[in-house]
Amino acid sequence: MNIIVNPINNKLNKMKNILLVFLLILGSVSGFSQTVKNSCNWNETVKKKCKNDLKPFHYYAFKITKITFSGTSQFKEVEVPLFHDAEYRFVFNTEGLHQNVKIEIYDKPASYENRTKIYSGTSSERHFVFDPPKSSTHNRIYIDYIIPANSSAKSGVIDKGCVIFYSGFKH
Amino acid sequence: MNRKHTLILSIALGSTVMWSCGSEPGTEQKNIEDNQEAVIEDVAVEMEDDDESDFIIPSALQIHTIFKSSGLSYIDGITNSPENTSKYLSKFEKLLNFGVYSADMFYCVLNDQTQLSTQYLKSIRTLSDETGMSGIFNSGSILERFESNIGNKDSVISIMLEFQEKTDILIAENNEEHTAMVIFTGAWIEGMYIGLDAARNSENEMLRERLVEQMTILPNLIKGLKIQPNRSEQTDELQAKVIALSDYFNSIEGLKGNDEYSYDVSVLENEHYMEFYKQVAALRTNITKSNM
Repeated sequence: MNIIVNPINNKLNKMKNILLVFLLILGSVSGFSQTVKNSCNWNETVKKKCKNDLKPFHYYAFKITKITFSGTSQFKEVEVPLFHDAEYRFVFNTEGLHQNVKIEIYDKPASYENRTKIYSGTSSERHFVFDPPKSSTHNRIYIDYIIPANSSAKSGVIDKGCVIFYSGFKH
Repeated sequence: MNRKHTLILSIALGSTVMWSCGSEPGTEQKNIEDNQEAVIEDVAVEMEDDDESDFIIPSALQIHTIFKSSGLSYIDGITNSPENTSKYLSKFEKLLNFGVYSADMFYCVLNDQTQLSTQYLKSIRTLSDETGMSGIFNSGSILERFESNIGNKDSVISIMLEFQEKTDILIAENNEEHTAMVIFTGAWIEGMYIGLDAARNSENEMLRERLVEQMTILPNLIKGLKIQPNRSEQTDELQAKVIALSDYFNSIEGLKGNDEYSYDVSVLENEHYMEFYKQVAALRTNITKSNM
């Protein structure tokens, strides 16, 4: 009798092992996944608002800067080339950010100690227009995004968002 | 069995339970309420693919506007023939020549060459269809409005600006910034080729200064070529030539100022402009001939 039962028990045990290993893998994979909340808000309404605020400047450039908040603070710098004898307008839309980001504009990149700050604001303004003064627009301008550490980093939520940048020029 | 299996089962269930607690549904709900546009999705955690460039790609139309206002006149036959459109085979060639034809179209529009500019717009539409960017022309009937407004320069320029904006937005929406860099590289090289051809044969200092100003874009072109995925020999060859041009520009004694972007154009002699032209013309020939 024992000779007959043991092979059946062995098969059952093997199946149980396979099932448990499967559950273990499933549990582990689930343990590594988190919720991503992407607040990036780029739609027709935002587009219309930006285009409208660009007037009377001609379209120059467009950029979506994506931000993923993390447990540590971050810094992003975007270089904007500007050309001789033109005036520029920058339109920022930060409705796609769930957490507050500092926005600063400089005449030189962060690697320069003696750079001049041209603008300072925060994403809490949601939508704003800035016309860089001609005197400070020598070839380039630098937009710095100072991103704080994610306040909900420990809760398993990855918070993503973006800044919409529209710019115009006129001669 | 049972102690070992109970332990394994506990770990598996524990992982699941821990995950369930970590997701904090209450927090999610609040966030959704705060922003109706928010998208909630469960995905595996991965590092941010932060491959976006850290610079803004300037407007090729503005570059041509600057050249035009600096005295660049129309040179018959200098642009790339629209008949070459069908000769470009790889996606890289098509994108580069999408840029070349954009620059040619802007140049023609600004110089009242309406017939030719329409042909360039058609070439661009063909290349956009072949590179997955037909969306630029799908809405707003750009080509039809362009043709019906020929003769009204302001309207045509306005349509050109709309074309550029749609291209930029489509590319950004599809996370294709590297594509934008290839298109801009083609447009920049064609614009510089036309400008330098005029500058080497004249003493137009204003145009020469504007051309030198454009040379400061080179580091960004190089960065843009370096981030190209699916690299080929064509990419490497083009990148090497752009680096060579940048190295030559940086090697000119007394040209560079106190910081990265200031320069003293008074040190430049005719021979320098001839060398700029020679290198840019070689780059341009490489791009516009078929099978780079």
